[in-house]
Amino acid sequence: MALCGVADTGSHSMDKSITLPPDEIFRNLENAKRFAIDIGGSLTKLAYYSTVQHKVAKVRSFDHSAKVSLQETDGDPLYEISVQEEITARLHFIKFENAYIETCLDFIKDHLVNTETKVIKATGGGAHKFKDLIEKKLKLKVDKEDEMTCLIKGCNFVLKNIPHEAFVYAKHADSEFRFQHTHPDIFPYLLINIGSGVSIVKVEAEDKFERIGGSSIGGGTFWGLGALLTKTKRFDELLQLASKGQHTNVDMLVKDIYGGAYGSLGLTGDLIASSFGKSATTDKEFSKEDMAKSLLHMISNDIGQLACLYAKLHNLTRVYFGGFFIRGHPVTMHTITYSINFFTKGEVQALFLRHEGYLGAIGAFLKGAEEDNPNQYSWGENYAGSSGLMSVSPELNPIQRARSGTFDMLEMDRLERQLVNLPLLQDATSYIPDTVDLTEDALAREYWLYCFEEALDGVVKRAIASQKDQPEAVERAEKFRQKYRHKLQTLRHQPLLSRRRMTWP
Amino acid sequence: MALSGGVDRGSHSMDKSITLPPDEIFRNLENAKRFAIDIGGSLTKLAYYSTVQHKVAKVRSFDHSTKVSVQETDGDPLYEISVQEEITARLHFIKFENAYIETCLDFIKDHLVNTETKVIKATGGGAHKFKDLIEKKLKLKVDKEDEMTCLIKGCNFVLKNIPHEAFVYAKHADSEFRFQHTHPDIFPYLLINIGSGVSIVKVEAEDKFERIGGSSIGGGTFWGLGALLTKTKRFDELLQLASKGQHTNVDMLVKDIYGGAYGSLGLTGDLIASSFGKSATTDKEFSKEDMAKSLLHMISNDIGQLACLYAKLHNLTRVYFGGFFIRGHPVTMHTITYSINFFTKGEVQALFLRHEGYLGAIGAFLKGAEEDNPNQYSWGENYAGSSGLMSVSPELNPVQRARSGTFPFDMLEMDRLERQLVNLPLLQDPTSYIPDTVDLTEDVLAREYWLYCFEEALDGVVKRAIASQKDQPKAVERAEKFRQKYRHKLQTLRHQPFAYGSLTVRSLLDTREHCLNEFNFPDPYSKIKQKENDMALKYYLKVVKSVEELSWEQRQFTLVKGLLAGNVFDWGAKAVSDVLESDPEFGFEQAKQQLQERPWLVDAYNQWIERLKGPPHKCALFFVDNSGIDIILGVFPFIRELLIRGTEVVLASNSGPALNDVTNSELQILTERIAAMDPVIHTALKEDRLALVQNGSSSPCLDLSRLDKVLATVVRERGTDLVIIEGMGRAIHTNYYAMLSCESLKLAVIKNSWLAERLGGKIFSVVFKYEVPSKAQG
Repeated sequence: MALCGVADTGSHSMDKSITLPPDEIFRNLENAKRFAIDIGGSLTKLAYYSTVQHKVAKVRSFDHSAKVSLQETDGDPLYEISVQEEITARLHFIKFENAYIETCLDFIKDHLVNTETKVIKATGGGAHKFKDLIEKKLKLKVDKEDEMTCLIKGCNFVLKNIPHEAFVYAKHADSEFRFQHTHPDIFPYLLINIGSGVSIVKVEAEDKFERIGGSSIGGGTFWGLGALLTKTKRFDELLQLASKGQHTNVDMLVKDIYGGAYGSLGLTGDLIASSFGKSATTDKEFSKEDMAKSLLHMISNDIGQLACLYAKLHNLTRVYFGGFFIRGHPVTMHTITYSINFFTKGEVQALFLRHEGYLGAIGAFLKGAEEDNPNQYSWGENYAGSSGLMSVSPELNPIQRARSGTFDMLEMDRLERQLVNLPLLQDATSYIPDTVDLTEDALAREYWLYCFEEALDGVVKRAIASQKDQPEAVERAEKFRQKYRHKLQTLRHQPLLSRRRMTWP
Repeated sequence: MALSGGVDRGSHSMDKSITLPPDEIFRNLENAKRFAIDIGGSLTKLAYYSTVQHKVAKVRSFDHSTKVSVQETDGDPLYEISVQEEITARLHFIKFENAYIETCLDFIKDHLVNTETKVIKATGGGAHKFKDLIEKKLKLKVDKEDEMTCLIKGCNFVLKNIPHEAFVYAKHADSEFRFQHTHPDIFPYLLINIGSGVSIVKVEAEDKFERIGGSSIGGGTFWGLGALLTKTKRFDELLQLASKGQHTNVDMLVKDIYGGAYGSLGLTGDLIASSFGKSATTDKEFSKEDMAKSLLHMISNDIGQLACLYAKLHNLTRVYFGGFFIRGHPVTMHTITYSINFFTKGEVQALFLRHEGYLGAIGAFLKGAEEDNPNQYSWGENYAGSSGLMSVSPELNPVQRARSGTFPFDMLEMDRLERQLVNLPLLQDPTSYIPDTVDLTEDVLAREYWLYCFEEALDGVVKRAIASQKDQPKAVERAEKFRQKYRHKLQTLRHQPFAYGSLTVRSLLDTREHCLNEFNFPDPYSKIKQKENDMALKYYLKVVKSVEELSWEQRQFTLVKGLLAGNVFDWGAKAVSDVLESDPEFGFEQAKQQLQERPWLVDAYNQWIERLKGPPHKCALFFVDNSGIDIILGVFPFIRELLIRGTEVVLASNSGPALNDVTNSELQILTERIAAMDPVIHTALKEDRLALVQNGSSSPCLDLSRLDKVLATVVRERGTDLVIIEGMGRAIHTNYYAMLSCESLKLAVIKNSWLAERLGGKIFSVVFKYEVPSKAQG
């Protein structure tokens, strides 16, 4: 059996000495009106809805009705341009470690202007633990939402609204991440949530899902057994150990029993016959790394097999994996992918989600925002306000992590028009707009990144020129230059970790 | 993934100081001719085929051809009885710890006489390790056979040939073991073999199987992780630890996360959310017992879920579990059963096998014996030569284990039956047919009574056995050995009623017959039967004549009463054997007076008479019971009337002796004699309207799913539309609830006051059950 709930690490020493950079996180807090919070075992995810004041360039036609011939318009501009203020809706999602929860609540309280908000939607295993703190600090009533419902709601939302949300992980390929194009119809799919335990949920429609299975052998088992075997108490460290170990020292392989493959049964010699089989009868000491690796394989393979059996049984081909066991860990994404490939002989692909960690918060937010009908709109990821994939993953990107602190953000703009397929597409499900995928084409990527950096000065100049009479145009253009250059640098270093299919142009 | 291969414990200190008790294990080694060995991680299983010389009582008719009238035969016995030697085939399987392998090989070498044997079939993970030792010691070539093929072959064999091979385990039920009746068609099924890893095998036909799945989380994982966590190195000890632990101290439950159940997902609070979830975040020390228990649950639940998913995917409902993780361990059988119940919501039952440990050895043996076509025969478990379930399980039976010496071994012996056995074609639903009326493993009161009853009767049986062989050598000594063996079996069954499958009155009777045969008392009642037959024959014509004088209605009633009165004469029933021994003059008329007056305990006589007023039956199949008065003065006059009505009659009698039941060879002689006196019988025989067949059994009871193939053919060819089953053993202890697709009569006199009381009557109550299948069922 299995749940999304995560165990508490018991080390939430509230860190109040941190000052938050106000223009980087919790943006647009003044206008925030709906809140939701998802508190997991180690991370808190906060969601709020806000409005953003934008300058928009509007064009308006002059009144040409009195004039008749084309010639007569010569010399006059065709239409006039004016810059106006426009208000658009934006969803903000912020993820930070539970240790910062009190600091963050204080910050929010100080910056919250809108007093219409009375309620904060909450979900996640830690929700009831922090309930009192939240209610005291924010003076909002904590309204608990069902964890699984939120998870599924959030999952539906990102699959529908974020192109390239799902990806396939291939450790040894040129591009580790192969993003999937969004299918117009996201249902049905299978969601395998690997928290402390494993929940296997079949989702058939927006509001129709069923937990069809689960297992008690999940992330908590890796963590718990790993801690007992290696005396290593941190989950991340256990994964680090595992990535350095040799499972063949601990596991009994087919060849250890039969001297080679068991051909008539189709079993290769290298297959694991028995996890930890060697420790049953050998008296020697086993290294922490080897045991952690064996444990990781055991659990990943088991979940992989269960997932593939449930997929077969319910005739499902789209299988998404989530939960803290997966979240941003290439090691576990690799072992799960390997296991799924093995058991389905490649028929089913393990899919992961870029915003998997936000699903609960998104869902809880959507539950609270149902009267606004968020599902009626189309939403677009705001690249400027969103962090990249794995921005806070310690193992992959220590430099960037140190720089940005431990905050990860996602912002989504509500689009004014609802977007749909061109009805004339021959096959909407296989349509891919972009001609070249720069995550896979290294030469093209290098050229285009260089090209966009080269062009940046020109763009800045053009931006300033467009607003000669506007206040602080030069300053803002400089901020733009910095932000965009930073994005380009990030993409140069982590093209494969980029948050989406990187395309030209 | 998963394999049957066991892990070697690395502690095979060869123990050569042990001397083996030669007449207890490796029996009949002199004639052994085919060998197979299955060497697992800790246990070796040896199989061999041998022949057994048996004494058999044969009856032979004297040459009466020169004599003409019945009167002239006065004083002479009807037939002569001679004891002859007969050779039957028997399969022997022995299981012992690997530590004793060298001792055993030496023993075999010393006792092996037959030198035709050149090869020993070998399978199991340890086979190649011991290859050289075996070849050196036995001078036989080791011929390796595929492990999985052997396993499946063995599994098919036991499922087909051993009734009550499979059982359901229910820890908290009255009877822990609920045995399943053998289905005629054993395929398809799923075999989950939990060795070091787990193999999930779909078996579709005798030679068609596929490993459809497996898992690396198996017995080796329990053992390996358990050893790392608890520093306990022995598998058995780990299970002991687990059985004392509390998994909730280590596992994170649903209620640990949500404070209670997660209702909307249908998850109860006590469900394990995360195995070892508490050890992820708690710094305290966990007890060895608790960790072992948590590990056991984790692995059992995982295997259970996989098994149930594969069963669903392949649409299979019969799921058998085996492998060293299961073998004889109530702890793991319980957790696996629990898991399967949980995941299938009771739709699939976890099935276990009594002889699971022997499957590889049986399969390897069968591979080597293919030219003998062992699958063409029917085989029967020999209760005398086989150990009971769990005989060597240390946890269950430390007393018995200690008693059997420092050399725990377990045996299985199977006799090749001379006739192939099949279902009675007239069974309404062969798959749901259960021969036995009361399952003594579940009915505690009945079990206690019958065990007591059989123990009480033992002295009489011993006396009778000695009396039957007054002139034979060592009869007293052999009878004493019989007494000890059977008493020991009864004691074992008192403590472990599940030892040989479902305990029934039938199995108690059959075990007694097997034990008698074991000590060369093939037919203790032969002389009594002879005497009774002689005596009864003298009255035959008198009885027939008196019946003929009656009106139709009176005649029918008298014939039925005669049948019932005849059935009072039964040495199998203690109350009767007491009377018969003290008063040999106890006559037919007296017996009639003993009978209960109508209305009988079960009384369908009126319906039967109404039926007789209608058209005659085409053919009646009559399962007869006792010799003497029963068959001659009860059955023959009754079937004579049927023959006159125009109904063909088939008399089915035992192939081999059991108590005073008339055997097929005795019945042939009796029928000839009666035909010589009675033109009705004579004509019927000549016209083939009266036929004699054997039922394929040597039991006082009757299993309609294991009958001689010839009988089934005759029944089909003659369009049998009436089945008559007579006697306590065949119509009460067995078949009382059997549903047939044609009309049936079940009749018996209850000659046991306890049983009579239980059925709501007194001793000598009459059961006369006439059943017509409902039209809807055809």
